[in-house]
Amino acid sequence: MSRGTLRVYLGLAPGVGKTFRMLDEGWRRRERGADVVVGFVETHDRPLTAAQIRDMEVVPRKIYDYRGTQIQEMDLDAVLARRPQVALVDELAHTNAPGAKNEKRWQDVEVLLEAGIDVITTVNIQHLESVNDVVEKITGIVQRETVPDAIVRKAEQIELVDITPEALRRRMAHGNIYPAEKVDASLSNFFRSGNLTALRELSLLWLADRVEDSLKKYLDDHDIKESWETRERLIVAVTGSETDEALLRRAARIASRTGAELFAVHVIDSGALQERSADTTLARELTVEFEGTFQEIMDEDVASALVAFARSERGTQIVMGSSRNRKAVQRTGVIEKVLRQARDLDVHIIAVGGEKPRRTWRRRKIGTYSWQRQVGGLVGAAVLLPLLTLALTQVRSNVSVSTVFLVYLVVVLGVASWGGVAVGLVAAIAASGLENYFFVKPLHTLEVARPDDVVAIIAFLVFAVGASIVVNLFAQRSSEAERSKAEAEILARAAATVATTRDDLVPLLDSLRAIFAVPTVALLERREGDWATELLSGEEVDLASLNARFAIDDNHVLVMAGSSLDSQDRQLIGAFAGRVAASIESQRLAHEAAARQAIAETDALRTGLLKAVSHDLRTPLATIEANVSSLLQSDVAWTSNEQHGFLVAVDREVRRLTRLVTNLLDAGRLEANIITPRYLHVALDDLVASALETIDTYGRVLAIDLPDDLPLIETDPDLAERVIANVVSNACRFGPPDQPIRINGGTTGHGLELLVIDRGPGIPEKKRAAIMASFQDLNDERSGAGLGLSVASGFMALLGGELRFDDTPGGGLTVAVELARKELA
Amino acid sequence: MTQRVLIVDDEVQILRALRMNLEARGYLVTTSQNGEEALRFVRNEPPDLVILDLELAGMSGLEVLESLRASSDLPVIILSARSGDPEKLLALDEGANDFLAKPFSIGDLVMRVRALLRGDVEELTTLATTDFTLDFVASTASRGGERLAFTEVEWKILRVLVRSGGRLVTERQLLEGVFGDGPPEDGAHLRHHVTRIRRKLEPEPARPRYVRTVPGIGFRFYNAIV
Repeated sequence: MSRGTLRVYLGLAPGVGKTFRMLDEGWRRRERGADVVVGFVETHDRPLTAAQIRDMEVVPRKIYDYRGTQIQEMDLDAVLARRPQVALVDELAHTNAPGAKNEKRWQDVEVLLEAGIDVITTVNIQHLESVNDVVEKITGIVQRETVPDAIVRKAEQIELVDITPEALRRRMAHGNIYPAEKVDASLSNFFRSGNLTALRELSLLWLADRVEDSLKKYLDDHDIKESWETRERLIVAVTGSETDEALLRRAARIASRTGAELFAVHVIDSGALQERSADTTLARELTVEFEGTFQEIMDEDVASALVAFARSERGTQIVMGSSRNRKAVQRTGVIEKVLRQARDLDVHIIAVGGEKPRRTWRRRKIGTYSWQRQVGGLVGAAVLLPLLTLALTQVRSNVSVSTVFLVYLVVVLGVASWGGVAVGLVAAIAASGLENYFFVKPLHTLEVARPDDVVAIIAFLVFAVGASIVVNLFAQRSSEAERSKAEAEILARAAATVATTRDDLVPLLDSLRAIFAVPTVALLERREGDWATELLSGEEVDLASLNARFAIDDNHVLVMAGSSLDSQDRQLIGAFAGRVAASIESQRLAHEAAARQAIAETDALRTGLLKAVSHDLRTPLATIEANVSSLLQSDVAWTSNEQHGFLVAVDREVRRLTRLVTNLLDAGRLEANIITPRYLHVALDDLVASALETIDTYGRVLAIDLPDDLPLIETDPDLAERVIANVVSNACRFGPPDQPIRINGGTTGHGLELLVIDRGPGIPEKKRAAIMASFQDLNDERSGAGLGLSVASGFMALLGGELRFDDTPGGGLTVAVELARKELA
Repeated sequence: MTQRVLIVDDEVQILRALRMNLEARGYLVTTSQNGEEALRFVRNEPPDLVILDLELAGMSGLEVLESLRASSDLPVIILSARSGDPEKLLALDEGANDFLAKPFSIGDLVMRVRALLRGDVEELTTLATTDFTLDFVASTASRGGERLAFTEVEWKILRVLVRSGGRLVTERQLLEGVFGDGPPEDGAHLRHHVTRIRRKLEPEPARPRYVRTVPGIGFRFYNAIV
């Protein structure tokens, strides 16, 4: 007897339609002539699902009695005895009642499969063991019922019952998934759109992994080398240069958009190891941060190695950077080659070279060489000149004296260009001595017999020294060129910095410090007559010791420590200071503009608020006026009953006014940002009870359901009480009179949550954001309510929590008050 | 003997309304509009209770309370500007016995005045409300004909609360009253007992009518009959 096949409908959340699809498939098979029975179907009282069973045979459930509760489970023995071809068994992760044969339903299913019965079943992604912790992180809910991944993976077919989070939330709002009474804090929290999106992604990923498993097998079986696109795999070619960051960030964005896996690879050009030292530390760190894999390979042919790597990793896309800097010139060849070789792979060329790689400019003093180079030049002379002399003495008979002189000249110029004029001079004198001693007659003396030899030696000396100077001058010129390039760069950067933040000035000071090779550059600001350090680059030093000062404006000065500066330097720093001044000025203007903007916005807000509440203020005032002035009439003698009636009306309207004014004042306090919460440990039920004492319930019935074991919460009791009062008050005001207002509390992964559920008209999605954002868009009839909820929302933000608006299943507004958990002291 | 109440508030209309209400209930009322004068009154002719507004011109209510407490422990009810006023907590720390946020209803004020002037119920024997009866002598309780069982700690809590007769009992006071000077108990533990008491006594435990909590501060026992 062969084992039965398993088909699993995988859902991202309850209510996506798994059971419905399972039944559908059952019917399809039955219509094809299979013997199909329902082993166990959970309809959750959903009429559409129940209707879908139609007249399909249902194996009666077995009833277990557990502590006085009757629990219905699938009757495994009955299904086995019935021996259908196909059994439909809902909720694979379900835990059976104590006393059942197996602890878990998936074990029951295993038994059925072993017995040769095909099983169609359902499971939600959150019940899969491997994603359990992720789900808990996403939703804050611990799933106790889990099913081992292997059981589901073994299934012959897994089908994802996909639905967009929006559609699922609509279903929820229409009450198609759970009746309103069943919606508690954790459930409402679970169905947040963010959660659903994450769960959906998780389902797809899980499934994709699964798909890849079978694909890998297929690839191995058929020895297929071409890349197959399942999950995208992005290969990023990093170079170990400054452009890697931009490149990797772009690549990570592409990867996250397409759900691709990221592989960063650095191909070390083994043919050019000396050329430059690549620093891949940053690239490695970034790759880890983007949850990618970093690899380094060594090859002479960078392009071929890259493509080979992409193929071996089954990459689908290659991302390469193209920059305008010098290094990229060589890379251009690489890019072309990759494009040629990567036929079936997508290759993205990303421009990352707008900015030159940052280099630390070291200033070299003009006309002087470092002592290392001078010593090097001297050593060179000391080695080369004797060697040369030795060589030339061997062939003395075959070369003329002028040739000898020319050869010496080459060596002198060489050491001069390395070690500078002084070294050149020493080498020239030594060379002329050697020439004289070894080659000019009489040999082996320093005497010179012929006058023209004297002239030749002097000419040699003059020429050697002169040429040394020229070589040196050339080196100077090129160093100057380098420096002016650096100056241009610093100015360009300064220009770019204008009108941005003050912190952006720091890198500017840093480059200034580097270019002039000084230990400290600082920006000082005059505050109440004294100079204080505003920004500092380099070592902390006594400000008085800074010898170079450049005024920026009346209140700012740039100071530098270190070497004295020449006029050219001063000019440059002057230009720099001008930029800084412009930057500071534009920052000041930006601040002012922002302040003006804020004032304008506040004004608009006040106008809107005033317009909005004037109706709500006038109405109770009018009522009070009418009732009180009635009492004061002297021409009518009111009965005491009538008097009481007037007063009751006044009392009620005064309370209403009080609440409105309190909210208005609180709105003002929120706007002025002057509320400091005082955190105390309080219980949610106490907060609810005292909040309810302060409000008018408009005669609504309140159904309060708060678990006894809720932990204390650290919050400001007054603010939290007002939040709850405002939310409940709103629900009472707009909920229909014959429907209770439900107040449910519970814990979520993030803290405590209170749900206030009404069956009123609800608040359209568009307006919710406005209520939460500020006290805007309130100029309609419901202004008072909007104000109350706005204040509540503002208080929640202060308390580190959130006020969330949701649709009540079946219509109405559900407000969730999320009090974030704080560790109890 | 007629009990004397001193009201300190700089709002004439409030003074007038409070005076009329308290005098109508048989109290002898003195009023003052500033702190210095009020303190003088207290020195010359000590009242039995002070109602003190925190927002006074000149010397602040908190300062008045401070110098008052330096020499006397007579009951003080604080009137604060709004419910979330941080000064309210300061005043309670400073030794105020109870508080009331403006605007308040006269009923609430009178209840607090009565509770504070009555002092502790010395002979605690029985309490009968419309919902339950408590017999402190026999340690028995019933609700709608049904017997209620309380633990020893619950009886202790009930004793402290009922004896206070509507006064504000801070969490610390209740802990001391119940557990004495023993090892410090934490508030969560106390709350647990209170929740159980509510479930037995209250007709609607989620909206307690008798054993009420003042969040973050303490408890208050309300009895409609008082």
